[in-house]
Amino acid sequence: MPREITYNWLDRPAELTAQEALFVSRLKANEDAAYDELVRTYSASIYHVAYRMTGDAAEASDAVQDIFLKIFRHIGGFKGEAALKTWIFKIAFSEILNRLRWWKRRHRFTTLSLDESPNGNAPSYNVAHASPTPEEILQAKEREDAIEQAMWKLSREHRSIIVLRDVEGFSYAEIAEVLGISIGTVKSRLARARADLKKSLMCYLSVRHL
Amino acid sequence: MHSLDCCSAQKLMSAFIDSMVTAVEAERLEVHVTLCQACRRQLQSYKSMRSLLSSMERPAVPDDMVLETRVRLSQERNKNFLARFENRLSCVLKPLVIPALFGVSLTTLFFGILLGYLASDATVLAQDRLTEEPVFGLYKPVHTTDPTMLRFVSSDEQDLDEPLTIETHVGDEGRVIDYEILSGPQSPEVNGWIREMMSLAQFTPATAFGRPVESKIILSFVAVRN
Repeated sequence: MPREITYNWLDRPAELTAQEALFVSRLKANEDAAYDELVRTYSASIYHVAYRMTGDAAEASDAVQDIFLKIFRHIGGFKGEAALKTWIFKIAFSEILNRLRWWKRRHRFTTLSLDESPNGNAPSYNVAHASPTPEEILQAKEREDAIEQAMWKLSREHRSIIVLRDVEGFSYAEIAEVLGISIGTVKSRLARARADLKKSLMCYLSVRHL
Repeated sequence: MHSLDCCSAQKLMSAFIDSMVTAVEAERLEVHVTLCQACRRQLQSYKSMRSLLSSMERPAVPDDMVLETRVRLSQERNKNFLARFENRLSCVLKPLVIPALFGVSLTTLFFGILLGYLASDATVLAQDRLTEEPVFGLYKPVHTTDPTMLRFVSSDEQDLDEPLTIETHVGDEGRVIDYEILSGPQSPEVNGWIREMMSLAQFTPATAFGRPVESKIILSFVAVRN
């Protein structure tokens, strides 16, 4: 008897729930409390995606502000075909990719040091919950740096899909909706991106995790 | 069931760790990795990498980012609200401009004609009460009517040697409220005659804006004969 496995072939983009529809109508009515809730709910996750994509805290912070302005400007045109989260991240990715294109034009001849994170600053770590030893902190930082460097070697398309799927945990359908591609393309692109990333991290993975 | 070759197995691994393969594909891959140590390690490395990525520390959100976002959003929303309000107001008011102008012009014209009509045949004075506070308006002075004056005269049987001048205070009903002899003969007979005449006299009262008001009139008698 084969082992029962849950498959997500019927994975579809989440639809707008009644609660979300009500929330969207409050946003469309320009309600203060609704916008406060929107910022409270989504600012951190948008910032994380923006930070992983740009590698720069200030750039990510600016991007977050612009993304919320875009959300406000376009909420009137939101028809509810997709979940609010997917729609928001579609706007977010559009803004982030635009910034990366602009950044690439401005910094075409800039070389990236592999000895430090792309923004030149060490990311701050939330270490309070685990009370790690200094050695653990050092290992965690090494691991983070290795991943960041490996991700920065990926193309923008591959980095986008890795961030959405493996870092932020979006479903294939959500990724397809956010990036405007088919689920089949998500699968193939994710496979290639993981294969590339694995090559960069293989040494690290084999030492630490195998 | 066909077993997979290593190349096909590796192509399935990414989707497999996300449970995005069919049951058949999953079964074939599982069979393959139990037999192939290299592919088993590959699959393990995929799982390990995914776990590594999902366990990445989330970068701390800058303290001021949420506040700045709220401020910028609030500014944009207010700006947008004002702009929309102006736009809506303009859309509503624009079609009304011509009718409104037409209405104002018509009203001005109407009141102009009305005032012109009221002002015609009237004297404009600074006061309607000569001794009291000034009132600006249309004033029609008091005057006597012929029948009254006839009665006034016909009842007289006195001769006057010198002109008699009386300042008369006429009420808004046309009756004499008070009077004062300014000049003329002073005698009990004359005074009695004047008192009688004043109590019987009936005037058409002065009007201001068409309403009767109190006023003063000076009467002068040169000679009275039967």
